[in-house]
Amino acid sequence: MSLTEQDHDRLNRLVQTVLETWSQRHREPPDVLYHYTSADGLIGILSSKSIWLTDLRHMNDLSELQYSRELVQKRFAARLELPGLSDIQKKFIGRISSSFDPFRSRHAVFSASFCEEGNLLSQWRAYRGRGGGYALGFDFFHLLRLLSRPCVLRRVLYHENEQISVVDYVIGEFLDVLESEAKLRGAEEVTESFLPYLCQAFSDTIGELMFCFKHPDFREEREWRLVHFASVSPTSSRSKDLPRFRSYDGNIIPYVSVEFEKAITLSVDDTYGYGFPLAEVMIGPTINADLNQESVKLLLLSLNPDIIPNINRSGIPLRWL
Amino acid sequence: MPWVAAEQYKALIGGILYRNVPQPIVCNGKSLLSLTRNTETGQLGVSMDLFQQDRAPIASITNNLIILENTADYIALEGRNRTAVVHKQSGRIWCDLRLTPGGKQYELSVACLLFAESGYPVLLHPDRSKFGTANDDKPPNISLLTLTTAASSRAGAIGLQDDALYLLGIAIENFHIGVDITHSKNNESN
Repeated sequence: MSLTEQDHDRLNRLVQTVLETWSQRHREPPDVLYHYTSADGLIGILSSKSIWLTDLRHMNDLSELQYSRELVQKRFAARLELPGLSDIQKKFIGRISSSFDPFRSRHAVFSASFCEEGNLLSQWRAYRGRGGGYALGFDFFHLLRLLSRPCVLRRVLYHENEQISVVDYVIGEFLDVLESEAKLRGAEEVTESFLPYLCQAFSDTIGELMFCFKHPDFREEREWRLVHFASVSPTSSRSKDLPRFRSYDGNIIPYVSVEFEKAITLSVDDTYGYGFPLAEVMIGPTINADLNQESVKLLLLSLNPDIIPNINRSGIPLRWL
Repeated sequence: MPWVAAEQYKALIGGILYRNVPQPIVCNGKSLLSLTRNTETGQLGVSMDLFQQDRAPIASITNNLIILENTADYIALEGRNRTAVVHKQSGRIWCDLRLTPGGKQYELSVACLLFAESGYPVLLHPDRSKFGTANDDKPPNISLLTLTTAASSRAGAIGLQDDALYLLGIAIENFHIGVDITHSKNNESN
């Protein structure tokens, strides 16, 4: 049975409402967000004027998504314990909790990580053994509109109470719609014609939220993610927006490249009023800070000679031993 | 009256750092923008009028509060401590205000395109200042320089007479006037 136009509209409205509420949590990111990278990464990003966004299902630390999945499952269980659920609502939770798997979604979330702080010891430690790291401070206020792909900024939520509140809200909205449809059309018809699509819509919606949950122990990072949503199944979608691939530790990692070349070009031209999108480059603890600072300055000036590059050095006394 | 004229301040205006300059930019004796301080919150504010080159009003800004006068062609974008006026069709940013509470280098950043009554253009780009010219692919006339004088000086730092000037990476401190422009209307070259 296919979805009727009316049901399609109903589901769309539901998903829109949920996502609009969710978006409110990510309004007004900080002026500057920092992307930590190695020297190779810095050269690659600035030379290509692009940032690579990785399919989150293939990121280094899968425990993040597992953490989110467990959280959602726990909220399903908690909801089932609450009194007053109708049979069809219980059926929805039963179905979705057994089939729900963010690793098997048709839609991929491509993301690059940014921190609110440009000088974090924990981040610099990650570049130990690679000669030191760099934090590229991007001003996304105008840049976001100039990227080559539609992207959004999402704040990572670290507080469990906030995560629970989000998941409970989404589950509640879906249960409410299901109940009102069942009252209107009868549980049997809704189970057959509407419930499967509602489950799918729930999976897609919660899949867009889950990548913003992280274990509270990581809260020091104050992470934001630059995110692009895309379909990754050529069998179900003939989208030209398919990812590219790179290898990492023997794994094949899908990614998309998001160019910021337009922002650089406009920042050179006086008439558009766009500032240089790289507000700051922080050089992490390294042996050759003087030379590297001069090289970074030259690299930035090669992109736009009409700026004073804002390059700073981490004062953290970390030494590579 | 919580807002009073600011004399002690640090503001990045057109990429130029102005410290304690009561009148940053003056054209034919008239300030193109003024800086104020809220006596209750300590916040630094800027006031100015935005016009198109044909003098059609775009917006007026009073103590950082933007009132759009041409809502058909322009939109105000809001962010955290940030507001911008953008031309809808071209995407051109006409004004970009950013408050940096507790900022070490400056408290407020202002970028905008201003036209004096005589039509003289003052391009206060986020990264650079160009007086009397724009979109000119030449290196700056003055760069990486701090112009300073004794506190409460009555002097002007830079005087311009029907001329163009490109400043990059400049700091001006303690002067009464930052850039003092004299422009005759009939000089169409600038």
